[in-house]
Amino acid sequence: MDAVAYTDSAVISFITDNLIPLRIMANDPVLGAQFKIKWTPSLHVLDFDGIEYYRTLGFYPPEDLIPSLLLGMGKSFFNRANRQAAGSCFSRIMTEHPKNSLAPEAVYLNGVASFIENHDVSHLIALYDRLASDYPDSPWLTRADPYKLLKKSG
Amino acid sequence: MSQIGWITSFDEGLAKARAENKLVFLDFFNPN
Repeated sequence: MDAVAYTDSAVISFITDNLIPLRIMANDPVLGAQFKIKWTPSLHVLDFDGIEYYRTLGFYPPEDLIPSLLLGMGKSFFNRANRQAAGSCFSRIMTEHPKNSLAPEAVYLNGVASFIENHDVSHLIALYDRLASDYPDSPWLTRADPYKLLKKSG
Repeated sequence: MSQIGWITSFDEGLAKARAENKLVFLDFFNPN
């Protein structure tokens, strides 16, 4: 990560602008145990109370790290009930990284976040349609499958 | 900005996140 991702100018700018970067040695006797670290790199998104909302493992090239962090931020906001901020993160993945492997999950979560806000089922139908058209091989289409039943016949 | 301004104190990182109302990106790394 040090040699590739963390020296990439886009990654540096993204992290600097959006997150507080915190680095801890995996063998830290307190925090390593608290977070149950068994392998590195282990990447997490936390809120300022130290509550973890997202975790991923392994090497990320720069072009994959930013969408992963956006997904982590989106999930954090989503679970802190800030659906607007969550949707903004998911939308950025959809528009700026549409070919990334995380994009289908972002489509799903963006639709769900919008639905929770106003209980308009059109958001669930739209996320199904988007996944079916753009990501037909994604397992996220399977997870969205029930939403196709919300379409009105005729 | 030429490098990431890593914070290495957990408590300091959380305090900065609270002050700036940001989320924390925590990287557990192996220095070896």
